[in-house]
Amino acid sequence: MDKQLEKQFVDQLEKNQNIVHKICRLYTNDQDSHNDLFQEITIQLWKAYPKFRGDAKFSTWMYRVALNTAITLYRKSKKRIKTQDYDTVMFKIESSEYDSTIEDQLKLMYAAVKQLNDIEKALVFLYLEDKSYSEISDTLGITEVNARVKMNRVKGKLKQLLNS
Amino acid sequence: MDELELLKKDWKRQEASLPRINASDIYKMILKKSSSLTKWILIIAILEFVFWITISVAMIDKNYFEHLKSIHFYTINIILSVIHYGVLLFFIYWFYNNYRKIKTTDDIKRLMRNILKVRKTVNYYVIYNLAMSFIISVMVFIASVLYDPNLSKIWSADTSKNIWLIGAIIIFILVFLFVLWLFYKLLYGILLRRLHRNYKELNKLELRN
Repeated sequence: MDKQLEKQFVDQLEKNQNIVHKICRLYTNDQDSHNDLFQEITIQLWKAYPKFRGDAKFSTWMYRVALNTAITLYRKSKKRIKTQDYDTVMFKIESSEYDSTIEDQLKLMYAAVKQLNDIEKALVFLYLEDKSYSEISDTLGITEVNARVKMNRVKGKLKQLLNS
Repeated sequence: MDELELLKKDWKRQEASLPRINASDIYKMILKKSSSLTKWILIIAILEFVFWITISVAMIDKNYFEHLKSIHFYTINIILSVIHYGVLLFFIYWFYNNYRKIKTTDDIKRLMRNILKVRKTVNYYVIYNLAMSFIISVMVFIASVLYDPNLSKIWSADTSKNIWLIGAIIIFILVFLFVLWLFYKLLYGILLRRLHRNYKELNKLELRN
């Protein structure tokens, strides 16, 4: 394929890779799976890239392809590119700005989010990424009203998980 | 404070702890082959097409045609074959058309719906093949009883034997269908379990709005 297109893609993905890592962190529980999912998302992004038009933002376009891959397309594979090993799975919370109560609360929150189902995780992810309800409903393919109702239910479920 | 708002504030901070994959690793990754669900569905569908074509071709040899001629089934068989290959072409076209509609840039729900549609095409194809095999077997059986001298001898000799024969054929067909059903249930159950669950989850509440 076109070398220039390839370079353009790799540059953009390298710049925006945080989005993919955050999705991997939400949807996988160990380092191998994290890297595996990252690779599959990269392949799917690359396959879709020739049709990507510059009029949309690269990052916005990425959300769909990456979430679709994580939720629907991803199947475990063993043939993975070895990348440097990181401690990728856990959310890091330690910060001098937090007192220990808030730190504990955050730890519990991240653990609770991990227990949500695939669709609920997508909702929370887009919400945390500061997406509007209209963008969230567009990405999921449901009505805006439904997206709001679902989000409220997720909030309720999280509360329940925290109190259990 | 709302817990989710607290999380939102921390979310940005998470970026500092995320891994970095460098450009050369990304280059290597895009050369790798995907192992996605849609790829598996495509592979299985192709195997299914090949399987049923092989079965219909494998049955053909000289004796087979001779036998068909002897039971006056030759012309009917040719007509059925033409129809069968026409239907096969239609299914392949239908499958290809639906498969092309699968796009990762669609919204999540539409992607799932399109994958399920592709799956259904292949299901219809399998049902068609089973129905066709069943109908042809029955037709050949009737023609054999009418025209095959060996079979008509057995047939008219003893009524209780006939009942056993029909019973055995029915049981054979039922067992065959059951094993096939089980195989499908297992294969696609495993492959599509997550998709079905998520699709249901997305559709929840949707009717009420």
